[in-house]
Amino acid sequence: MTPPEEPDALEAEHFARFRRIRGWSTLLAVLVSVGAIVIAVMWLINDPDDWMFIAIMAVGVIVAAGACALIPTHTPPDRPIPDTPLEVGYVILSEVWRWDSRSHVSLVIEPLDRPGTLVHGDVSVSGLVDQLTGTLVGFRRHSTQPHLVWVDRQAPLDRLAVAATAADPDAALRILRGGFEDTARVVTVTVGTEQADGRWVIHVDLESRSGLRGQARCVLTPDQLVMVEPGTKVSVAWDDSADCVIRFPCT
Amino acid sequence: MEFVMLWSLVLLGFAAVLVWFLVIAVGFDDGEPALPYAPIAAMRAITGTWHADLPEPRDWYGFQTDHRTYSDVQMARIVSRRGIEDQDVGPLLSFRVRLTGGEVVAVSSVVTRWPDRTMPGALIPVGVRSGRHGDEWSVVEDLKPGRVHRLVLDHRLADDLIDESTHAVASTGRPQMVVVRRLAPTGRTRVGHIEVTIHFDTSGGLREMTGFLRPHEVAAVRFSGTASGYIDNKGRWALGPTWY
Repeated sequence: MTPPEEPDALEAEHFARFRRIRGWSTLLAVLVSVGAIVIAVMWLINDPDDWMFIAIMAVGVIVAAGACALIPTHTPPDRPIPDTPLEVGYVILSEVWRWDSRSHVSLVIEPLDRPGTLVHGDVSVSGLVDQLTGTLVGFRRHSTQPHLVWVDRQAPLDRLAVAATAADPDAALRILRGGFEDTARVVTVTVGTEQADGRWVIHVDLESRSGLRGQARCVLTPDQLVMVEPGTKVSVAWDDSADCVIRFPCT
Repeated sequence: MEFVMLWSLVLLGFAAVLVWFLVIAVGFDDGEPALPYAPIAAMRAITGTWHADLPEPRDWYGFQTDHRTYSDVQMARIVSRRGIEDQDVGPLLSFRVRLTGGEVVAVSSVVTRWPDRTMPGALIPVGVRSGRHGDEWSVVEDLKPGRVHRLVLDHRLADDLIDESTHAVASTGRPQMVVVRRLAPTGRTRVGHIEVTIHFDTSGGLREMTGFLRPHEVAAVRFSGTASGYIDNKGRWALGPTWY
């Protein structure tokens, strides 16, 4: 299970610096205000007739000093794009933070090679914001916040996805390298045995448009079955025998 | 002149108190990193809501429409949605929904307080209302929870997601949370739903129930370890929830 995440050094440093600046500015504002009161009292002793003008000046200085000490909280600066290894995960949930021509969406992702854990990351999407739910995305973990990820939408995923989902990764990668590419329709889905990590071996019977039939065996979580719903078109690679590999992501 | 200066002095005094109050309040309040977003909490929240009674659509989706009379009220499945952020009222979403017969219609746009609950695949109550431009499909916000429950069950029956006996158990039974021992897919999928069998403990021993759930609900059951079902007075179980 994913443990709760602590603020990392990047955030801690940003907020320490922020608190330091605000402490100094508050101290300065207090000193200016006290000085204004002292000067006003001394002036009042000299010219008691101008008391209203002096009071307005003093209170004005106090308001200005207080306004200068009001520093709103900043959000931490953008994290640099991490150079950790590329991973691939299945998008379970997407929450939209802003609705506009470009919307900000926060994704909850389950890594394919570490089922049972969750990572999260933000992306900015143009157009329909729901196209990411139920698909596979590539991501890189931030090195100091390992559950916070940078979503890489350009990265090629098929090799990683096939290696993580195939029941026999070595054979599947060989077919992916040497086989020919095609699109096929899912005919039936049969559930096999349960793996130790909560995933299930799934037998997917496929039929290509030219009538070629074959079976792909992959290891998926129950909710990922929606990717191979019977009737959907998937991209596959065939070898000379009837074995084939589903090249996730299907689209 | 004296009067104007006295007033400005009083106003400045108020401003000084307000500004310094803010300085002190803000100074003690934040300056700490925000709590990190916890994806596991988002998953638990999904099954956590199933504890509660079914809320009215107005409270669950935060729809803000005017009261009208609607005809042909039914649940419809959201196919796609599009939204813009309105400066004054918040997200303004428009939906395309699939009616019970399979027809896809556009629903006039509506303000929603909880836009994340209107995910494609969710059910929203719609009805026909007559407007300036003739009859149009619109979101119905005020429906009693009992009515929503019946409409959702009818819709699930029409989509072939439940059979007659499950429909009967879910209509008459009472909802009950269960702690999941094992979750197994059967391999059947239908209209974006996945059929799963849930093994759970009861006072009478290990029981199981089978039914169709949406993908993120299956994930939520898997990560939270709890699910929801209906038990009727004959002791028969039906997998729930009957939620939006």
